[in-house]
Amino acid sequence: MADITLLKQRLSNISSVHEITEAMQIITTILIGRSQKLLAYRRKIQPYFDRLLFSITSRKNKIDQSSPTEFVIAFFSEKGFVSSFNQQLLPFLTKQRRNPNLIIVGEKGKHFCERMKIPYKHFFHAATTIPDEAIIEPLYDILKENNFPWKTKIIINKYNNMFQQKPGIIDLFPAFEEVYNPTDAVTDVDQDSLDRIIIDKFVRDRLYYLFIQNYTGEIGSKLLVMKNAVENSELLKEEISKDIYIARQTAITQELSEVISAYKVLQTREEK
Amino acid sequence: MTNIGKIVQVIGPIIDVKFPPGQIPDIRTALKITFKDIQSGKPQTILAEIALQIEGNIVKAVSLQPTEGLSRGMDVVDTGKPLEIQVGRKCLGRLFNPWGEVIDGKEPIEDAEYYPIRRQAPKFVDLAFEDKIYETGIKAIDLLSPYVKGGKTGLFGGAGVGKTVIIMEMIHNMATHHGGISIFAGVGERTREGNDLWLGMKETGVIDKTILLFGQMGDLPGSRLIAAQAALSQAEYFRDVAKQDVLFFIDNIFRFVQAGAEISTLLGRIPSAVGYQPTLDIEMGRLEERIASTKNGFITSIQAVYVPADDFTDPAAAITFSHLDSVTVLSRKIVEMGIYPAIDPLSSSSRILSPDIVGEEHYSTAMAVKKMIQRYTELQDIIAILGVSELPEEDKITVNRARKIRNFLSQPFHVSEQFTGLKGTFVKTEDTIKGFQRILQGEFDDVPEQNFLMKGTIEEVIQSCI
Repeated sequence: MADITLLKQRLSNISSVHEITEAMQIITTILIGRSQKLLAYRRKIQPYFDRLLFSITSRKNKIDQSSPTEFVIAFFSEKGFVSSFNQQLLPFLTKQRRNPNLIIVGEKGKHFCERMKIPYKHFFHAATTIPDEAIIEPLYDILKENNFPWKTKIIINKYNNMFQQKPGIIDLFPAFEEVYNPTDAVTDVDQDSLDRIIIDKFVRDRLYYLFIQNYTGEIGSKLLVMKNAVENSELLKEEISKDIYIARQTAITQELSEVISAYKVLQTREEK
Repeated sequence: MTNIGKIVQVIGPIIDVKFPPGQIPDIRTALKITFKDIQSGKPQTILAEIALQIEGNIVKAVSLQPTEGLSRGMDVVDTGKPLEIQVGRKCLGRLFNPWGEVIDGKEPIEDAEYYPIRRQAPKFVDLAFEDKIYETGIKAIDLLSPYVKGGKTGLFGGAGVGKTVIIMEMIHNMATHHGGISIFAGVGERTREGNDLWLGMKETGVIDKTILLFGQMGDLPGSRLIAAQAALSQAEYFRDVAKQDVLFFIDNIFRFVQAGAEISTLLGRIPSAVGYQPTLDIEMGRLEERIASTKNGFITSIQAVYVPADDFTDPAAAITFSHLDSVTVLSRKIVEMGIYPAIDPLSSSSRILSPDIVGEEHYSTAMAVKKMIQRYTELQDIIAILGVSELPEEDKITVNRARKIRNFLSQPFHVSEQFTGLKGTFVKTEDTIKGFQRILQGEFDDVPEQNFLMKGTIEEVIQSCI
């Protein structure tokens, strides 16, 4: 029979882990609710930006589409306990081993690159709380410096819902199969200035959308991990509690039988 | 003149016999009772051994055979000598019961030499020690709890974890790789297993160098109590007279304790801790002290020890521990993972696992294996809660290698070929050490852990990857 003290110690350790994971589960539940709302809103407005962008790109070449430079931005989680969230992005990352313009977002991605000796050009932190729009600035500046390279690819877990996050590579500037009729709007500013504003706005919005998506994915994975951890620790606690009961019962039975035996010995002596 | 007593009481296997005043036989004297069998009506003789003397010229004797058919007033003959067993070369290849009858259906042995079943342990000055490894060909044993030549080894485990299979494999390996005489004492275990062993030995031709003695499950406690001692007397003959090294197997020494407890209760002794006999220490001590190597020859003993309810603090298991040179613990958790032999690497130990005896390379490899499995065990709870993916990188590597080591500790056995469909392997100790060293160094980090399961040498693992 296992030692009761050791079992109790183990139970106490698991209870601590259980408390922590439960607290983390509550926090992530709150965060994912807010994050999903924000993501849903961005998803609604994103097509309008896409259309605007298309109206420019179909009219004239405002963005240099022939540029040979290919930028890759890989989004990873900022923190751990996200199950396979990062792992499933690794095959896409390793393919970019030779890309001189690799940009890493998220602390975990940086660790992977260092471990697998993948060189990267820039590193930026991913969001640790619900991201505000300022988070995109450093990344935006890099892209702006490079004249918004058309061939910019994004490695990211596409967030469908908490249970479905599909890893893949997408374009920063999406190509459309649908054809929109560009509108000849009458504006106060000249067309070029307007186009620049639209591109600028599009990139900002797109980057922000990606940051939110990455953050929501990270939180979603974390929530799943914590949910499983809480369930697993509960099961483990239950099993160890059973072991403690059995060990305790055995100890009691043994002690009782020894007390009874001793009593019988004393009784026999008295009779003699 | 024959000393004859009368039966005054029979309670199960305990027979109370009254002798004439002044003619009470000594403790441990054998008594003989002849009576008519109640079913066949033929005359039948049973043996009993005096265990207690009480007031009124009455002795309490423990019967070795069933007492059905006895009645009060029957004559009991005092043989004037203790229980004895045939010993010597004529016994090789034969099967005995604990009171010396041959049970293999062949002719009884003529002109055999007899030894008392209960004998004294060798004198202190006659004892001999040689710290040499006894190679079993089983990786987990040779690496983590190497057996001592001329030493005592215990195979501890609960019911159905594979103690008997390991003993059978060792008998097989002994016959094919070591040679020499071996004696097997079947104590309180399944008769079927004894039969399997006997048939297996006949098939392989090992039987000619073996003596088998069985006091199995269906026998009375008196029979089970002396089975190991009777077989030991035969081993002592080869050690002391023939001056030969002997391999002595006992399956299962716990049954010896259990038989002692049954008798103790029937004799009316007050039970000690967990209901065992108050004389547990001395009974076990007397038997274990006899299993000794002397200047004349070595007795290397391997004893299966059943652990009731997997509780290693049980007095029977605990008292056996203290007599042993090496301990191999079999774990139910490992059985549940389908890893055979289910040897627990952390609980198994050996007195000779030190760099001075087994060498620095063996010692450091064994320690590294234990350390890695220890770390893996510590991480088990965290893995169970959060999963392996959440571990730090160095722990992930530890877990990865520890799992491979755990699987590589398994091995196909010759005796279980018909069940596993895999050819049994005998792995030399140097191959075992090399294999584990290469896993520890990370040479096989890319090989899936399943490839390490039920493999003999590391070369077999490499072969499975091609």
